[in-house]
Amino acid sequence: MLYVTIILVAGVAVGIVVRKKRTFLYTLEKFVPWIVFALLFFLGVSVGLNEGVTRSFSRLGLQAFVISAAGTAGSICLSVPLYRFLFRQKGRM
Amino acid sequence: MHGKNSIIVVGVFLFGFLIGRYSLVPSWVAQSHLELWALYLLIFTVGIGIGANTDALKVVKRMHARIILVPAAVIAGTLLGSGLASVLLPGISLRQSLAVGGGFGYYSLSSVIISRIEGETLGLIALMSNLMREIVTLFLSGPLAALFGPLAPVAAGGATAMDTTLPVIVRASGKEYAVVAVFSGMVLTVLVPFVVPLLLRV
Repeated sequence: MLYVTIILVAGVAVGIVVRKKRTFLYTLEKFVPWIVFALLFFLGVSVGLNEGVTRSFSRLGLQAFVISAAGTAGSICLSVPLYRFLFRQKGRM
Repeated sequence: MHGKNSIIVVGVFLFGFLIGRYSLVPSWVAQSHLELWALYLLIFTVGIGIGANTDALKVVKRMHARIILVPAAVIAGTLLGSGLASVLLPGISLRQSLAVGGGFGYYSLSSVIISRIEGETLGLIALMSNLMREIVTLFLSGPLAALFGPLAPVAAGGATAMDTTLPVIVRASGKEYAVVAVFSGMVLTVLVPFVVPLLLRV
C-alpha cells in the first residue's frame, strides 16, 4: 500500500507538470488500454497456473455474480434518496 | 483508465489463462509477477490523469458539497450490499466480500491487488464481479434511470462512471449528470487501491 501511495503521488506530480502538454497526454491515453491488457494477460497466466481455481470455476462465477448484484443494488438504493432530497429539489442542475 | 471493451478484456484474460493452464509460459515469467508491474504502471497513469485534470476541484465548488455525497453513497451502498452477500455465500467471509465489492467496478486494479493479498481464487472472483458491474451498467443504464432516477446509473457505474460507462450514463441520465459521473468515478478510482487492501485487513 505504501508503494501504491508513492506511485500515485508521483503520478499526480508528473500530471501537474505535464498539464499543458496535450500531445503527451493524448499519447498516454492511447497507451493505457495496453497496460490494462498486459495486466489482465499476466493475471490470466497466474490464475491459469493455479489448479484449484480452474476446478471450481462455476462456483466462483456464481459467488462473483451475487457480490456484484448485491453491491450494485445497494449503491442504487442509496442513490434514490440522495437524488430525491438533494438533487431534484434544486431544480435543473 | 478502465477497460476498453468488455469482450476484449475477457478475451485477453482467457488467452493468458490458457497459456498459464497449459504451462506455455517460461517459468521466470510466471514467477516474476509481471501483473504487479503493470499494476504500478497503471496507478502511475491514473495519477498523471488526475494531476493533469484541474477541473475536478472546480466542479466541487460549483456543485457545492452535495456532489461529494454521490461517491459516498456509492461506497456505503456497495459495502452494505456486498456485506449482506457474504451471508448468502458460505465460502466467502465478510471481509472478502467487502473487498470484492470495494473494487467499485474497477476490475483490473482490484483483481490484481486482491490476488496479491488473498490469492488467485478471490482475485478471479473480484475480476468477474467487477466486470459484471461494468457490463450491467453498460446494458441497463436506461431502465435503471427510468426506475430509480438519474443518479442510479452513476451509482451502478461506480469507478467506471468517469470513462467506460460515461457515454451510456449521459444517454440515460442526461448531459447535466456527466459532471457528477466523472467526479464520482474519479473519487472511487483513486480510492480503490487504498480501500481494497484496507477491507482485507478488517
